[in-house]
Amino acid sequence: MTGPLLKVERLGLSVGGRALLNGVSFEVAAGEVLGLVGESGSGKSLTALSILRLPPAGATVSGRVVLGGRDLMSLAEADMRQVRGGEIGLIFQEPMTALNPVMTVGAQVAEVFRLHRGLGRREAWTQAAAALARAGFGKGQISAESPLLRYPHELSGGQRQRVVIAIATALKPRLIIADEPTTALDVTTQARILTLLKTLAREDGAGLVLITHDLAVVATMADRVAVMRGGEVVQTGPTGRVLAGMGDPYAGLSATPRPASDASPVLEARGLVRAYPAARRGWRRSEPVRAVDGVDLALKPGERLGLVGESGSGKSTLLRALLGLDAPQAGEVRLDGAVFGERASRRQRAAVQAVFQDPFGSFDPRWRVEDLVAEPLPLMDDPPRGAARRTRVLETLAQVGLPPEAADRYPHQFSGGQRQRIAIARALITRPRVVLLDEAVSALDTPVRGEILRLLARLSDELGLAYLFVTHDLTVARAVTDRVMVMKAGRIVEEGPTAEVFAAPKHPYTAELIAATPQMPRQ
Amino acid sequence: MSGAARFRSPGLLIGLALTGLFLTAVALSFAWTPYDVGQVDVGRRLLAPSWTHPFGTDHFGRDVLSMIIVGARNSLLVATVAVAIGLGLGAPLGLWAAARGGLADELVMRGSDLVFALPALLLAILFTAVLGPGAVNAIIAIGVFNTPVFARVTRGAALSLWTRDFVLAARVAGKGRWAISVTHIAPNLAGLLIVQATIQFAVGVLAEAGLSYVGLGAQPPTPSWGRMLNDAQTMIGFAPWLAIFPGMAIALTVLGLNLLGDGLRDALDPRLERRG
Repeated sequence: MTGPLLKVERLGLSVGGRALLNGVSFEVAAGEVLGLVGESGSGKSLTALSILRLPPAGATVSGRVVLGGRDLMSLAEADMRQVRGGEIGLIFQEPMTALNPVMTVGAQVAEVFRLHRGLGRREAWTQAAAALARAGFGKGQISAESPLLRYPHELSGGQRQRVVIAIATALKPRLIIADEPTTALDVTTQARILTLLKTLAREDGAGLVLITHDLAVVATMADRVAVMRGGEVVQTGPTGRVLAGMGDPYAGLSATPRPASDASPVLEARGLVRAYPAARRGWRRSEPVRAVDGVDLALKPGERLGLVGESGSGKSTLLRALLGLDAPQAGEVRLDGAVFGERASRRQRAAVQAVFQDPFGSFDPRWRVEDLVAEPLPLMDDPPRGAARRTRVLETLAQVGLPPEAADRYPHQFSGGQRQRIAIARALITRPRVVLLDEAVSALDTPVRGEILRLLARLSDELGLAYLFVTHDLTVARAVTDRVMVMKAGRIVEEGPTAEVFAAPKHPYTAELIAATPQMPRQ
Repeated sequence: MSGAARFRSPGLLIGLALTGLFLTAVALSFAWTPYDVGQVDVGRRLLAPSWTHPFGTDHFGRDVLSMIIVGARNSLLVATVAVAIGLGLGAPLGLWAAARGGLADELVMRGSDLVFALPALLLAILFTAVLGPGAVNAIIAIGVFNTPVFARVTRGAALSLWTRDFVLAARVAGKGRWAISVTHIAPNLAGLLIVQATIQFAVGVLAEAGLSYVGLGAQPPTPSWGRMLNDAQTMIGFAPWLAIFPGMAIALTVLGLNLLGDGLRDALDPRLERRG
């Protein structure tokens, strides 16, 4: 075929008079992988939904979307239904919600063939078995162990995503749109799913639009990249050139390995156990699940410690125990040698503050920034009031690089990166000695992530802060930490100076994690 | 979502208009009514609707329009206080259940199950039959049944708010459960509670009319829509206007409040506020 497979021209979308997409244009050739990148809220997913003509209720869409010479915007709804699934396959972020929980996966894949190709029951199942086998499921025979007869909840996240991919690619669509297909998955699973996607797209000669906020994923996958910001495409070009133009997002970090301090630890955990009651099986309860299983940890003043692990490894549970919010079943947390737990004193709490992952969810949407940032102030012995309180807030905002006007606005008026600055300001206002960062940069796009990490590094130098970076992203841990701990299934499996661990991992799991992490090309 | 557009749905506007009419009638009743509702004039009894008496007159010769205007007062009073009781007791109970969990939660939820299990109007009748008929007892009875409604709605929404990161941040800031409930949870529930209050208000108007209809609400000579319906029953064959107009007043008020509630729910839908 000559010309591009998909041509999006001046795509616009507005809801209630507010433009969320503005003149979005890009092209995808057959067999090409286009990475659509940008931070959350930049309009990536809306673009995908608009291409499929599935915009949110009440939205008006303008512009043209041409797929193989046909303008999708002028198709009748009945024809459009054939395009969805038939010519365009869509893969979502969260495979559990994309699948029907009360249908076996075989039936869900077979349904595609029955609806689109009008195949009979038996034939559809044969095709479904083939499609699942192509997506990496073992033998397609219908037997008791066959994956065809499993329900979505019986599969792992990666397997579920394979089912979604099987459905999306079943009819050999000409275009595949994958919206953050691996964000909900672990690093090791992510690598396999990405390889699968790329292989299937290449086999079918399909175009692939890969929507992601992770530049490293794009670097390993995409031929070309379109960068979105604020509902507009701000840059398009070959992957190498676009990424090179952005420079190294982590430049200026981890330049100097800092000497290990021999001071006594400021925050310390010994033999920490945190268990949850297991799900009921009939009348009996099974053994409690140990989310954190005997963890020792020592954070020295001014130290930057990384805690790395995949989702479900117990990182967040450990963090809550370290914040003194949940009482451990065994072991204890000590702050400067004194017990730190649910009954911590105000002074203790003022010394340990936190920054959370979600820059959208970590602020009460009804509060102004000034009040949000000042919220921990009552922890201080002599909290500033009135004008002094405002001065303190403005000082702290300035520390994180925000203008004084920010104090009078509401959180929704800020971008993801700015919100994370506000969250850092809130964590710093009590002048703590320890800041725990729970995936504090993982929701941000890569350049902004670099900025925030540099800000955190500078603050720790200036204020002598100790950090605990909890993250699933090894590139982040590598860029900013002095020492790193690797957590798996509630236990610490490896621990050591960051450079050493990355250069020569001792535990096979660490090696696996490092190998699976998508790398940015180093300039 | 830009503001005004969301408040322009036809349902919401009709609801606002009908509710506005109801409130205007109440306000008007204090200043002026076409005729004095206490004035009995047997010579003018059972007149069909005409220019002098748009809604006709009853068997004592009282003007039906005037009685409906004054009767709105009673509906408003009973429904308002009943909603206030329900909200005042239910919302804190719901907040408490969500904040404490465990036994407190079980207590509040099973307690409301208990109240829900009993047929509300029947029990209100029992209530007023024991305590004696009258507006005050009707208010208490309706208020008691409003309480678990508000408790449940509050608890459900509060539970989902408790899992949000900003609550975690508030805990890190050293705030206790109650402080978080008051400063973070309750303000974020305001929209939801306004909607629920509007709907419970409609239920209150209907319940008051029901209780008055069986003679357990406001006592004569206070005009009340429910009792007007009851009085009309025996005369419906030859004076249908006696039943039609109070019935329409009840139906339109309840319809208006329900439309208003639904409209507000759509307009204040938190799903539309997020992201963009």
